Amino acid sequence: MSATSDILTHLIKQLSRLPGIGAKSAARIAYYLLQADRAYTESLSDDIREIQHRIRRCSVCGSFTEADPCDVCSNPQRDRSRICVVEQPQDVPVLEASGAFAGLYHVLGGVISPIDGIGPEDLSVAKLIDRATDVSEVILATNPTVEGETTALYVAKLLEERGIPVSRLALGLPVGGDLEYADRLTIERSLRGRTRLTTEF
Amino acid sequence: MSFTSVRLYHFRNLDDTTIETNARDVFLVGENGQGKTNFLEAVYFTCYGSSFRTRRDDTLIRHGEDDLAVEAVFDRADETHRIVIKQAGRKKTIELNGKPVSDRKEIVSNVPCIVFCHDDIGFVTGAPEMQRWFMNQTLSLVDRDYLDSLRLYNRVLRSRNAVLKSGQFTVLDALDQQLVETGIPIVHRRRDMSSRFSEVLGELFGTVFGSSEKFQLIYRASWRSDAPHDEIRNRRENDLRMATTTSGPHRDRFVYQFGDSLLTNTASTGQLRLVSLILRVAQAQFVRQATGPLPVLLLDDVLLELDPGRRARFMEALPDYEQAFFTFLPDEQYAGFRADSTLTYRVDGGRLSAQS
Ligand SMILES: Nc1ncnc2c1ncn2[C@@H]1O[C@H](COP(=O)(O)OP(=O)(O)O)[C@@H](O)[C@H]1O
Ligand SMILES: [Mg+2]
Ligand SMILES: [Zn+2]
Repeated sequence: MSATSDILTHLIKQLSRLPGIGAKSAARIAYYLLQADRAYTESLSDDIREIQHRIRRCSVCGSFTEADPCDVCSNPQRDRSRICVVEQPQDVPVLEASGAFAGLYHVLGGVISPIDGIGPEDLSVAKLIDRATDVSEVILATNPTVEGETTALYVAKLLEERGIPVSRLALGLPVGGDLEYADRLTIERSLRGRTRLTTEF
Repeated sequence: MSFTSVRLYHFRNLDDTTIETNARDVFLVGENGQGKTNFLEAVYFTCYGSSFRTRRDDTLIRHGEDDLAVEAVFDRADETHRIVIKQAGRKKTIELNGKPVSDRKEIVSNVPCIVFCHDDIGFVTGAPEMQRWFMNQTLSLVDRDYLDSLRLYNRVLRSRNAVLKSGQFTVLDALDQQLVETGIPIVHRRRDMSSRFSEVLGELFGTVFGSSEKFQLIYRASWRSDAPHDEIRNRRENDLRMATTTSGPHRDRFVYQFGDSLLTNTASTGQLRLVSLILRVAQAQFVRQATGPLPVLLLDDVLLELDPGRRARFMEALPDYEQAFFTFLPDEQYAGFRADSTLTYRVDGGRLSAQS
């Protein structure tokens, strides 16, 4: 094997680690890059190299941002009496795009999943309780999966015990669906139709 | 709906070939260990995407090979469909009319197929788990959403059990609530189905046994109420000690009552076997009432065990079907059941040869 095909094989292997990319797509992408415009491949590799240096987690809400605190947290126009709780940083831009929510966000950084050994202490729960002490509503927008539901119920109970009103945003989102894949209309409708959550235990 | 042909590739000991099955009745005749049940299993495999004999579908692959395929062509509502199921090691792929099917569930409701076999006696006398399995199968044949409910509940259950084992107790309140939310719909469906199923069963029992005593299926839910929050709470210490969830639909029971006593206390083995056949007939009738299309029946050695009188009554009690596959030993008196259109195959060492 020549040196070129070694690096090509290596690139294909690396690409196939990307989510949703199998060996076949990886090969197709690699051959595409091989013949693509130089300027494009160079700016692509710059972006890939830079992304982790430039983007970090907001120290207040946990979403991805270049400036800390993020644009949402530092914007005086935002409604500080409402916090919307999501699983992952990438859920924030999805909700933002709907334009239906003017409050602040809080990223948990995952969901409670006992089977995977992930408990509340692995998530940003304590910090949420801290942030939420004076707000008038916390909206739980974890995904409508079993784990997302466990997390929502767990957090809701903690907030309720402290007298903080909680509502659940799940209505209208496809069951088992990810917020990431929901379209703008669905999210708007969900936000309008959110329900007050009460735990029964 | 009925199968017009079945193509086999590396399926147990069966030859790699296409078997024509375009007849209402298909008979498979052969000595023990030749591949009769294997063929029924292959047909079943295309209906459910799984086997009725094993939970490990990779054991269906012929010894020494890595993969298998079964392809069936069937007619339904005057349309021809083609289903292909491949199993490579533990990995299964299903294609219906050339399109990949991602969830087994989608084909289960496609073809109502009912198997009658030896092990069915476990639905009457076996562990509660087997009895639940039978009821789950019946329900999922008539209710498209039932499997989803069951999967959801099982997921919550697994989480809760993991919590009980690991000591993440703070999450228990949330999981208890989810256990109720996902469990109660299952209880409702089971209760509703049991009472309807019991009626069908009672009538059949009367016909086949010629008895006037009341025969009933009784559903005994593990939870005593439909709002079992307190029950679950009260059992929490116990659950923690046992490190598992000790109440809920996964502990539900189904029992059969004959007159005033439990069937298993009074019946002989022969009677229990007949009851297990009746359960299958009831299942077929029940599915027929609920879903419309006539079922495909797979009858594995079942006539063998009945005396002539019961055999005749059993055949009469069989629900109307689109197609049926029967297995026989060579010296059985199967000729009397044959119609002009019946296709008969001799099964020998995995090879099926048509007989006139
Ligand atoms: N995975 C497999 N590969 C090859 N042969 C198998 C496999 N599984 C079972 N067999 C063979 O199939 C035969 C049993 O077939 P079966 O259909 O149960 O017989 P019967 O005609 O009595 O119903 C046995 O000879 C067994 O060795
Ligand atoms: Mg057999
Ligand atoms: Zn922020």
